[in-house]
Parts: sequence; C-alpha cells; structure tokens
Amino acid sequence: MQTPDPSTLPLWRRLHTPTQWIVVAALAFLVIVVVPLLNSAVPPSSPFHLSDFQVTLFGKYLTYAILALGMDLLWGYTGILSLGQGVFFALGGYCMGMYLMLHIGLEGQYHNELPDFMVFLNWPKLPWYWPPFRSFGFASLAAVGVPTLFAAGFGFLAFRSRIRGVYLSIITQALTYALMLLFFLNELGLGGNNGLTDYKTIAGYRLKEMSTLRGLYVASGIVLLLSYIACRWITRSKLGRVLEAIRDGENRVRFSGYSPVGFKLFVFVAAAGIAGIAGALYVPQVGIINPSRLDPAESIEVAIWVAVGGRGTLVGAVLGSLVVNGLKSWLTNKYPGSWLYVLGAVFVGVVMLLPDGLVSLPRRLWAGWKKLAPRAPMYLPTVTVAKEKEQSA
Amino acid sequence: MRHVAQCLVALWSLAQTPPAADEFAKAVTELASRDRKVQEAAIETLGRLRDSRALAPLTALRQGTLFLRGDVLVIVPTEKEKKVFLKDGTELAPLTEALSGKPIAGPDGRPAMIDVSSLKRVVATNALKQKIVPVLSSLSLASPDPDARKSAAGRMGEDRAPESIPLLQAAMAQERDRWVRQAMDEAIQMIRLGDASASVRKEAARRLGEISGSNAVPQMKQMLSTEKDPAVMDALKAALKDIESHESLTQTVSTSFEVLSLSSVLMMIALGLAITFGVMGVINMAHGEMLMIGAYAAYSVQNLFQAVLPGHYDWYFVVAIPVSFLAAASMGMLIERTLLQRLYGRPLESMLATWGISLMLQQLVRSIYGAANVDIKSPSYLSGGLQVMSGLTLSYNRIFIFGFSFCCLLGIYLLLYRSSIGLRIRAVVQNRSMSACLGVATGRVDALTFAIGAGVAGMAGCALSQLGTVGPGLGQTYIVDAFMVVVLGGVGKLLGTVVAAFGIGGVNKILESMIGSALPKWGPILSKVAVLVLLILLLQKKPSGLFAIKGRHADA
Amino acid sequence: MKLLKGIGAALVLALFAATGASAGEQDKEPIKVGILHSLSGTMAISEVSLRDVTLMAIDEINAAGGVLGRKVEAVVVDPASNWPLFAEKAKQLLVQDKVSVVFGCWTSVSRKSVLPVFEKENGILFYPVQYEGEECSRSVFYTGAAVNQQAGPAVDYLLSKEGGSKKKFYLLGTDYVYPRTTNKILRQQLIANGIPEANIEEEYTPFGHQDYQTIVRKIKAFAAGGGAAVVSTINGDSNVPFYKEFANQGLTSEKCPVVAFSVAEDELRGMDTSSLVGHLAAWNYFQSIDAPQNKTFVKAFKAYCEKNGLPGGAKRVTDDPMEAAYIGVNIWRQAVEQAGTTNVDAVRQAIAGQHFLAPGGWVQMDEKNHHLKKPVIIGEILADGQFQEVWRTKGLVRAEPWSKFVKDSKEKIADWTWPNITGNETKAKFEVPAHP
Repeated sequence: MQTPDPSTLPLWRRLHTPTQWIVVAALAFLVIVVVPLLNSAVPPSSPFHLSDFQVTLFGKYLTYAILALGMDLLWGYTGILSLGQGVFFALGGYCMGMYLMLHIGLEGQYHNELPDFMVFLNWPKLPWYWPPFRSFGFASLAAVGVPTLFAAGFGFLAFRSRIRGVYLSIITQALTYALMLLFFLNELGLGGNNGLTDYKTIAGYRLKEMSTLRGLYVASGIVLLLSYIACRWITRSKLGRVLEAIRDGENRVRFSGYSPVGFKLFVFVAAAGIAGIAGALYVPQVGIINPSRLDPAESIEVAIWVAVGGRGTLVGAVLGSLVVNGLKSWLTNKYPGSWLYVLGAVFVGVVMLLPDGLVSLPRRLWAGWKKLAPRAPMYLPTVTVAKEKEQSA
Repeated sequence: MRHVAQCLVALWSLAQTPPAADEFAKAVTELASRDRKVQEAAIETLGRLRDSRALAPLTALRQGTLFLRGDVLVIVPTEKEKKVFLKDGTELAPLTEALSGKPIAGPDGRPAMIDVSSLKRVVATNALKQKIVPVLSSLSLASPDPDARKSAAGRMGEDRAPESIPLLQAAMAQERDRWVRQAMDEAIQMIRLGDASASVRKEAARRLGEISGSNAVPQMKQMLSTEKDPAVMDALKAALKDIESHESLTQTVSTSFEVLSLSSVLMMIALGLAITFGVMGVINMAHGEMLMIGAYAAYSVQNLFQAVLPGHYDWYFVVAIPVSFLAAASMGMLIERTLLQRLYGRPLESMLATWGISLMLQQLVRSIYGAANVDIKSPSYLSGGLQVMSGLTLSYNRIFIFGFSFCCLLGIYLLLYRSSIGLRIRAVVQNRSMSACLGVATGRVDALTFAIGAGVAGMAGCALSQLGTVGPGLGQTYIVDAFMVVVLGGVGKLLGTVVAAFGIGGVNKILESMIGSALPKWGPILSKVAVLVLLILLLQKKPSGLFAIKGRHADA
Repeated sequence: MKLLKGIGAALVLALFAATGASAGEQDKEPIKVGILHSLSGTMAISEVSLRDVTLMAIDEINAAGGVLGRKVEAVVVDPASNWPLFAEKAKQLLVQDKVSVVFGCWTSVSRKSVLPVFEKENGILFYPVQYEGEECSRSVFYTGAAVNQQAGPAVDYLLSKEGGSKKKFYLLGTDYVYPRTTNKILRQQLIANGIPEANIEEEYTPFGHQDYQTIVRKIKAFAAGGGAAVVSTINGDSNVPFYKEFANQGLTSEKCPVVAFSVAEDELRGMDTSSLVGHLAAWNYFQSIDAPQNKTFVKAFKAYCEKNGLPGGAKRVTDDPMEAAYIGVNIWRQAVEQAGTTNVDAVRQAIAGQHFLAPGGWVQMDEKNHHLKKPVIIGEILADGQFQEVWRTKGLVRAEPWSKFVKDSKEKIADWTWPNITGNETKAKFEVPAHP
C-alpha cells in the first residue's frame, strides 16, 4: 500500500495521523496542564507534588527544547550545521532582558530609574536603543525581529556565496565568538560581564511569585507546542521536501531548477526566530542573561542535543534537549568531579552507535528483536511470491 | 732588641686580618642586628666598601630571604624548583652562607636540604629597604648580569647624583657589552643635563639625541619649560625629535615582530588542522586539546628533569619537543582508529564526536594536573632577549618560535612533496576514490595524517608553553582563530595556510591600531569582528578559501 | 511511530521523575553543607582550590567531633562556570538537599545569580572572595574583602611616606564590574585626598587581552617625573603580558610600583613570575605570614592535598580567598555551636560578632553588616611566587560595603540589627519610639 501524497490531504491530516495527534495532545496536556497543577494544586506532602524548583527547571528545559526544534529544522532537515544558534538565542534573551531591566524601576540597588550597572558606570541617561524596550509588545517583537533580521543579513551573505558544510559551521562559530567578545564590553551598554539580572516584574506580574513562574512555564509549553506544529507543517509541506532535498544533494536541487539560496535563507531565518523566542522565554525563568551565553561551547551543545535525540525528527530534537540537559543536571550533582567524562562519552557514543539518535533506539531494538524471533519456514514459495506480487501492485 | 720589637710588630700586624675584609664581615653580620640604626650603618658601610660580595646578602635582606640559622646568616633561594616539599607539608631548601656565598653542605658534601621553618627571618622595615636600593644599584654596576648593570645605570641616571658620574665612567671603561655601555652613557648624560654650565647641558642633549636615550625624554621635556639658554633649547628640541622618530621606528619594528611571532604560532596550529581537513574532510574540534597535550607534555618533561636531572635542566626543552609531538600524535592516532575511522564520510558527525573527545580530554588534564594554570620556566638559552636597537629587545623565545614554526613548515613540505607518504596523502586529498582504486591504503593514510596533524599541534603547544600560561583551557583560546585560518586559506596547499595565518594576524593588528586610534576601547574586539566580516566578504568570491584546489569535485 | 512517541513520552516522564527524586531519603544525623564552586570551565582555575580548602576545613571539624555532636557532610556540586547553572544548583542545594549553609561562588555574576535564590529560600551563603561591595544581603556573609579593606588601604599606603608619597595614579583594570566599581571608589578617595583629576588615569582592557604595548607606553609617559603608581585590577591571564611589557619598557617597581588586587599565591603558582618580582599586591592574608597558626594551616593544607592525591600535592599554596573560605567554615561552626541549632535564622544572628583565630591572625565577623573585620597587608612579590610583607594596617579594618566615596550609595545603611534591619536602604526599617 502506498502512502498517499501528503499534499492531497487536509492540513491536520497532513501533519499527523489521528493516533499521532492523540499522543501529541496527550503529551501536551501532560506538560502544559498536569505539571503546573501538580505544583499548585497538589499539597507538598503528597509524593505527586512537583516542587517550585522542578517546575522552573522544566520550564528552562522547555525553552531549550524550542531552541532545539529550530536547530533541527536547520540541521536535521536542511543539513546546515550552524554552530551559532546561541547568537539568536542570546539576542532574543537580551531583548527580553532589556525590557525586564527597565521594569525594575526604582526597586534596584540604587533606587534609580536607570539600571544598576549604568548607575555605577556613571552613565547620565539611557542610550538611544534602550527606551523602546519599555514596552512589552516591542520587546517581544524585537526578541523575534532582531535575531531574524540579523540572520537574514548574515545568511544572505553566507548562502549567496555558497559557503557550505564545515566552512559554514566554522563561520557561525567565529560569529558567536566575536559577538561574545563584543557583548563583554561594558561600553556596549548591555551590562558587560555582569549581564542583565535582578529582574522584578514581567508584564506587571512579580517574578518572585510562583504563579508567574508557572505562567511562564505554561507559556513555554504552549510555544513549544506551536513551534512543533509549525515546524511539522513546514517539514510536511512541499517546502519541506525541498529542504530535505537540499540536505541530501544541494547541487542536484540546483540542477533541478530550484535556487537553494532562498530556501536556506528561509529556514535559517525561521530557526533564528524560533531561537529568539526561546531566548525571550528563557531569560525571565532563569533570571539572568550574560555574554557567556554566546560562548561557542553553548551553541555546539545545541547541536549535540539534536544529534543525541535524533536529527531529522522533530520529536528527536525535543527529546534530545530534555535528555541531555536532564543528564547534565543530574551528573553535575552526582559526579561533580568527573561528569564531563560521562557527558563526553555520551556524545561520542551516541554519534557512533546511534547516528540517528535516541528516537531510532526503539526501531533498532525492534529490528534486533525481529532477527531473534523464530521465522516462518521458507518452504512456501508460491504463496509468498504471490503475496509480494499483490503488495507491489 | 729593636729587631725583635720590629719582628714582633710585623708578626702582630700579619696576624691581623686585613681591615677591609674584617669590616666587610662585620657589616654583613650587623645586617641581622635588631637595632635598625645598626642595620642602617651596616648598609652604608657595605655601600662604601664597594665589595660586590655584598650584593647577595643585601638583595636577600631586601627580598626577605635572609635568615639566621643559629648564629650564621644564610640565604634561602627564591626559585621554586630548588625547594623540596615533603608529604607532610614541610618545606626544605638548600642554603647559602651569606658571608662567603658558599652553599651549606651536608655530611656527604652535597648541599644540605634544611627545614625552612627552623630558620629565623631577618626583618627589614620598608624604610630600611629604601636605603638598600641605592647601595644595591651602585654595587650592581659590577654585577655579572648585564640586565642588572643596565638597570643599575638607569637608576643612577634617574637619581641624577653628580657623584655617580665618575663611577659610571669607570664602569664604562671596563664594559664590553655595547648596550650596557650605552645605558651608562645615557645615565651620565642624564646627570649632566642638570649641570650648571650651558655648554655641558647642550652637549648632553646632543649626545642623548645621538644615542636615542629615551629614558631621558621626560626630563628633557620638563627642561623645555624651564630652560633659559636658547642654544640648549635648540639642542633639546633636536634631540627630542630624533628620539621620537627613533621610538616610532622601534615601535613599528616591535609590533611587526609581535605580529610575526603570533602569526607563526597560529600557522603551526592551523597546519595540523588543514592537513587533517584536507585529507579527511573532518574538522577536528579536539585540535585545541592536542595543543594542550603538547604543552602539558612539555610540563611533565620539565618536572621530570627537575626531579631527576636538575643539573641539566636546560635540556628539558630539547627533549620536550619530540615528546610533545609523540604524545599528541599517539592521542590523534588513537582518536582516529577508534572513532573517526567509523565516521568516514560524515564530516559533521565527526565534528561533534571530536567535540565530545575534547570535553573528556580537558577533564582528564584537570584531574591529573589540576584545574589551575601550571608554570613552565623557559630554559636559560630562551630567556631574555636580543637587543637590536636602543630600546628594542626581541625576546629569544619568540625568535625561536618563529624559526621553529618555519622549520615545521619545511618539514611538512618535505613530507608532503618529497616523500612517498606525502605523495599518497596528496593523492587522497585530490581524489580519494581514485587513489583507492590505484592501490593507496586510504585508511592507513587517514590514520597517519591525523596523527601527524595532531603531532604538529602538540609541538605548537610545546612552543606556546614558552610564551604564555598553560592551563586546561589552552586549546579553546586559540582554536577559533585556527579554524578561521583554515577556512580562509583553503585546503590542499600549504601556502594557503601560511598566507592565511599571516594575513589574519597582520590584518587583525592593523585593524586594531586603526580602530584603536579612533575608538580606544573597542580596538581589539572590533578588529576581531572586522576580520570575521572581511572573511565572510572574501568568501563571497572564493567560497573554498584562498588557495583551494581547483577541480571538478561535486558535493562536499 | 506511535511506539516512538510512547517511548518518548515515557522517557520524558522518567526524566522528570529522576530530576525530581534525586535527593532521596533525608538522613537526620549528619549536618549537610553545600559547596558551590565551579570545578570545570573557565572559573575552575581559581575555584577548585576553594573547594579543596573548604573540604579540608570540614575534615578538621569532623576529626574534632563534628558540630553539635553531628558529623558535617559536604554536598559538592559543579556549576561548571555557567551562571544559570549556579542558580539552579543553589536552588537544588537549598530546596532538595536541604543544606544548612552554602560555601561558594567566586565571580560577582555567580553571586548575583544565586542571590535571589538565597533570599527567597532563606539560606545562608558564605562568600569568600574580594568583591566590589555595593551589596549587603541578609542571606550572605562576606568573608572576602570589600573595597575599603583592600584597595582603599593600598591607596592610603601609596599616598603615605612609607609608600613613596605617590602623586599620580594610573588605574588599570580588566573590563568588568569589580575593577570598574573599585576604580570609581578609588578615584573619589584620591580626590578627597587632594590628588587632582589630571593625575588620575583610568583604563580598561577586555578579558584575555595580550597586547599592552600602547598602554605601558602611556604609563611610562604618565610616570615620567616620578611619583606615579599603577593600581592594577587586571584579572587572570592578562597579567603576565602586562608585567612583561612593563619590564620590557624599562619601568621598575621602584620607579612606578604596580599594586595588584587580583594576583595571589595561587595565580603566581602558574605564572612566570620573573617580571612580577618586586611589585606589590594588597590582601588580607599571605601564606608567608609568620604566625604559628598559619604555619600549621599551610602545612596541614599541603599534607591534605598530598594525602588526597590532589594535583600539585605538597607544592600547593594558600592564599587570601582560601583563608577566607576557611574562616567562613569555622565561623559557621562556631555560630551553630553557640546557637545550639542549625536553624538558619538562629545561626544568622549567632554569626554576627564571632571572633576567630584565622591563619593570618584574629578576625571578627562584624556585628552588623555581615562582613569580616580584617587586617590589610601589602606584600612584595618574590621570585618563588610568595609575598614578603611590606606594610600592614594597625588593627582590623571594618568593612564598608557602601563606600562613603560613592555619592549614590554613601547614604545607605548596611546594618541588619534592630532597628535598621536593612542592607541597602537609606533609612531604618523601624523607628525607635522616643522615651516618654
């Protein structure tokens, strides 16, 4: 039986089969509804209670998952290994951070309208690029817009000149490194090494209140769901086909009459926008943004999440980011002196033994199981051949 | 009777130790007195006696390394490697006697290692130390170390005491080192600038301009506002102009030299990377860690020499170079055989796998050597520098590294272009499948290439250990620049790496000074950003680098 | 595909559960304390020694019978020089591991990211590193020096006759908050001491900066004519190229001394010290202090490193932040013994005013402002990476977290006792009623 051509199906059917939709809905319900309830409604004494710490931790993981989705779209589906996603994540984060800083208001250390770091640097007033961030709407738009515009400019230059493969990875790595050095400068007016921190409120809600943090968690969950659906829609559309084709053989795509530049640029910009949103959700939950977020190592880690989870499958990206970060949190507690060995070994192991990531594990296990299971006797030639003929018809 | 009396007198005077020596010994012993005035008097006496044996005890008193062992004044060495630390934390050190300068020997004749905590430190107040300094500088004029003589002369020039002139002239007459003589000359002229006679001042200014005495510049500038005599003013202005032009010359030379040395290091680091990438299409994210392994190998060799062969310490570096090559090469071979071989044809996965390796290697080094930086002392033949002009000293280790990197380059060139292995390597770079068809064992070529690339990085690390600090994060500092060199230079021609390394190093420096003059604080950062932007723009025209192999290869 | 999703869901849930249940059953007997220092990443270079000395202090306490008859158990975590991870670990130590106190942090960024956590969860943090002040949190006890306990007296020394009566000051630092704030305070202090603005230069270089040629040339011109000093807050790897260039251009420590605040024995251990010899540093403690309890401390630490196979072994050194960490652990111990409980509110009150015979001499935790009263010592760098004491304040210096030289903060009160009970307000929280 052939799979029907996706473009002939209605939209919702195109993205998932009904059973898959049920699973997605169930997971979404679990993550977005049940988890916060386990924190707010269930009393602390119960074993089902999720502590505040855990909820904010999961919120952070969710933003990482959003970041990984964009990366997967870029790398898993289009084959562009960008080692600079941290740039867009951080840009989105800084936009939201600037908004949050301005809304500390007079509650800062110096009870001054200006952010604390500007006070002790003796700056007389806000630089021109700060005041627009007072508006939540502007900050949210900027969190998406600034990374997108930056990605558009950089991507245009890069893809037009056909910088590909490993070269592109290195260039993106150099980009995030250079920006990190730039953001460390106090003159830039973005807090330098101390970064932007000490937030008090977001959109009027106090950040110290658990209800706000739960709200942010829920928002992260919803954004993850929406991003997932959006990415799924992209990958299941004709555009997605072209992207996969570019991954598999860019020159042939070009020979077939498509210009890969536009597609690559589109997906690069989309991934940047997704990363920006993730950054904007990350910052209020974590409480600080500083230039070390732009460290090349952080961007490489995003690629590791996707590789561990499974490139080319959106579920894999989400899974990988959750597994790796959870593992890191656990390892830095249990084995503070040697966790890097374990993490490094995990990376190497996954790349070597599970090149398609963790999501391929059940399939492999199943295939291995099938090999071990008893087989039907081979001695029924006519029946099997006829069946095959029927199947290929 | 008279003869007997004369004999007795003669005998008696012979029995006396010579007054000078006696005074010297007395003064040194008095340095340990508890009475500050006695100490001061002792210091003055030593200054007056002009006995260069006083250098050691006076320096020790000033540095706080003069101790009393019972009644004997001893000096504890300050070099770490001379000390021994026992397992329970006791510190042992070999001592030298302050008076005679001889080491205190144990029963077997070798220097005895004595517990430092059993000694009593001789205390000198800060005011006392200030008094020691001028005495030290006048004694240092006769020091065996030319740098000490130079700084002694410089100090005397700054003090501008006219009494120093005859001292300096006497020292100059005996001086063989050209630059020390010049320093003394400069000091004399600086003192003469303050002379009452205008002709003396004029002559001093002229001479200073001649020898480019830059130490005198502040003094001369000050004199411009107070000088009355017009002839002297003219001489001053002319001299200042001369010195300034000389200084800009030295500045340019010095900056270029620094650029050359940094670029040569970058070139060495990028060479290994370029070779590996050319042959296997793999960017080794653990390349920085190969660098680190090489540096730590040098550190281990240094420690070994300190422990086992302290007398031949200087030769550790000669041994360290091949050791670091082998250490890094074996690690590279190991990585290639276990990992990369199985990831053939998947460059992006290889990048990530080597990233995991780099994390593990960094942690390994942290566990074995500690997370802190380690200190590597340059051997004596690499310390110090070569003075080429007045005010310009080129350090020996940078000169060495520059030469060494080109030797490496030559070695790699010979390997690639004049050996059969090199032939095979080049074949695989140009067309892997065809080479395999023609019988080249591509697997073995891969392993060897990776090992060589890692080994070159190891040697670069060994060279780097002489330049700066060595810590587990050493690799991460240089790796981004090395990547950019490979991207810019392209793969397949050694010339590409060389040009790219010096290009990036030079452009970085030029941009830094250009931007730095306009926006001082942004100089170094913006230059890095600018280099990146330029790189991207350049890649528009040449996406595979400056010196890419031309050929009909399709998809990478 | 469905199976895939199912497995994915199960894995996700399992992960949630795992991170949640990592604490396990609480053991009532030992007292848990948290150690929050980076063991990997860029900050590991400095912070690993703090972990080592804190663990040694805890070993000593346990060998002497523990605290309140209970053993002290250290919970060591690695926040890997990652600031959000610091906050996460801090939360976990306080909420999940339920530690009684945390000893940790080094950079101000790390401290600032964990501060909201400590304040929200009502924990106690002992912070052992010199910092820029401008903070006084209820939850933190600062055993490191504030600016007036390190930089301020160093400048006083330079202005004095003993220090050379310097008239010109070049303030050079790495570009981050500690040098910026310190220099801001020092500038005001110098002006208050009659140094004209023209004689004060301020300059910053980025992290990892290597090329100091231009700057040293400026310093040389600045120092011409004598009476100049450099106050250096350069951090880390940039120190070696700076001092090398300084020596190369003919500047000596007699002509123009450099007083550093970020160069201690632990950093000198890994540096080529030849160009630093003769220059100065200001700290509250040096390993070379000639006191019996210091000799015991140094010997014990070397033996500890040797016994536990720590890299460096008996060649390890002790320095000011390490002594401050050691002081923090012991003062906490004293406070708990005095309060008779590990309850945070009780212990917090008991900590104030504690005296302790530190390796460097007697110190006292301030009664009011959560800082430590310490002596200030200027030392000259020797070739073996040790310091020779050159000058010392008479008696202990009380910390002023809000510098009186900064106009925005000099009015602030740092006093957590009644009626002020504030760390950064300008007026007391409670009014004392007038007596009838």
